[in-house]
Amino acid sequence: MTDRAYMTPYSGEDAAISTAGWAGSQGYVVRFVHEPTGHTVEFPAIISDFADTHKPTFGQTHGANMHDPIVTLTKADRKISFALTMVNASLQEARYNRQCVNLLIQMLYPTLDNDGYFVGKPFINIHLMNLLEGSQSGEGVTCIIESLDYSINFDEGTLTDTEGVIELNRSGKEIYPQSLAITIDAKVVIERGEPDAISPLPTNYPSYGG
Amino acid sequence: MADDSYTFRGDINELFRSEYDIDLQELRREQFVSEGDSSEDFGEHYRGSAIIPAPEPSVEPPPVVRTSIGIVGEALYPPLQIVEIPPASSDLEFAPISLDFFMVPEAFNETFNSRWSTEDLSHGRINPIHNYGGTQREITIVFTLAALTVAESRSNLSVCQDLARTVYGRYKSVPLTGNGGTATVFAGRREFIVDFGGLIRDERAFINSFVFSTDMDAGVFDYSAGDDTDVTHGTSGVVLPRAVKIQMGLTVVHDVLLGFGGVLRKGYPLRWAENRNRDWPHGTGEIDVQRYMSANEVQFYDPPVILTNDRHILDPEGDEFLRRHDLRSSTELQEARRQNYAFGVNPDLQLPFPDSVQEGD
Repeated sequence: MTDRAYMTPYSGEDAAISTAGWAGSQGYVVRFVHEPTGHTVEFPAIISDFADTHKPTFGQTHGANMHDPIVTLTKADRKISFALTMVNASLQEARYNRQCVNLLIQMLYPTLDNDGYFVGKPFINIHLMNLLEGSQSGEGVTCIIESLDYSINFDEGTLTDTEGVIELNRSGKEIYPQSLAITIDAKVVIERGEPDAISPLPTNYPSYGG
Repeated sequence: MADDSYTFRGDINELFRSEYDIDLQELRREQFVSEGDSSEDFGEHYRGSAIIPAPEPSVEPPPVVRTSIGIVGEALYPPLQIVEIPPASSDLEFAPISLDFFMVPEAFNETFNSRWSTEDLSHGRINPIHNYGGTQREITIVFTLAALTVAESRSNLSVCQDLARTVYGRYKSVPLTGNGGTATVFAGRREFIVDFGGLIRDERAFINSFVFSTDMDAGVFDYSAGDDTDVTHGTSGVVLPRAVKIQMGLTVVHDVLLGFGGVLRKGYPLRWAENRNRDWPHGTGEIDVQRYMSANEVQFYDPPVILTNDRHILDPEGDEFLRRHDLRSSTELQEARRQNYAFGVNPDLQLPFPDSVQEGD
């Protein structure tokens, strides 16, 4: 048995009434892989506000008697952002989903050596069906998650259990949201194509599945 | 009201008290005394069976305090506990700000920001060099303190006062050489241990923002000459809102270097660095932790478990009733927590009140 975690969408006894069941049947899954460790977590892809921004950066030189500057392209960046909603249909699912979300949050941290120095940078490979997919591998794309926002709106209701484990939750009250929004802003590390190609970009980059 | 209404504990007793209940209580008292015990033993008898007796009918019942929070906050949500950490080295008087109260949360927001810097090396290079600097964790929590009574509104305002002071720093006096006088100097930020159920679990944090607002649409308690009652107060010119909304921001300062592997996980590079056999950052109750979160055979870091007090049983006739402010300074639990924290890495530390564990109701 390995220490490497691979957490798939909830499949417990309440899965039939869960969004996980529908997502599984449709193949709507978003997958995150922590590249330094290989830890993997998958969620039912309840996605909103997905945006994939390709932004060029230009340098400008203004000359005399010229309206338009001389524009020089220096680079192009790619950023993605999306909101992932987690819905809990039962207490069991809520507990499991919390562990999944915990792993996702932990992926924002690096690997450490035995002396406590940062070793592996927390690059995260994200695969969001055909919307965010590697051009060549069919896997995800490597990203730098700059910000992860975990948000609970208590008005939408909570699941509570007063029989919690005192050592873990000494109030004795577990509290889980009915729904949870996770907003992610990330930079994409752009893939390289074939080494001898004219352009370093893969020919089908950025591969939306079209 | 049904007989078993007396199984409610704490403030809820107060809410549901009625003349009928008091008559019933008196009937029970007479029955108890007729069985040969003294009337004084009556309270202990019922307390022992987790039933809080109503007060003497002839005694004016105390104002109903914390009833709304008792019903909603205490019934559904864990308490928010904020306990100030004593200064590391100081022989000065320490006046901590420590709070332990129930509220009705509206929003909980936690942000993890990774610090990355990039180096652009040349035009046309596909990717810059990415350098990672660390990940910061900030929490924003929004909650309402509602009041059904004047006393509860006063109590809420008292809590808000203390919460507002958490963002201000500490000051200390230092002796001046020569003239024997002292000078007051700034001694830095206050740090706290914060706990809120499974969402914030004994995290070391400082308060980075505090916003207090009154919900005037919910109304205020009006003035009426005389003493305070449940619904009017006797101090002209005082505004006692029925609901106040609080927004607090916390920056978490972790005691353990977070990541995978590390000093506490030698030989286990894929396991979470904390090595405490618990989920992080949020608790997950009665399911086993994932293997990568489980503790090694040798556990290097084993901080003490801080136990909750028997908060849910509040004797309406007791000294602590109504006086949350006093509770703050006198609660043995909080003193235990401070002591625990100060010696947190000592595995031999014995909790002073191991019997005070109260399972959730």
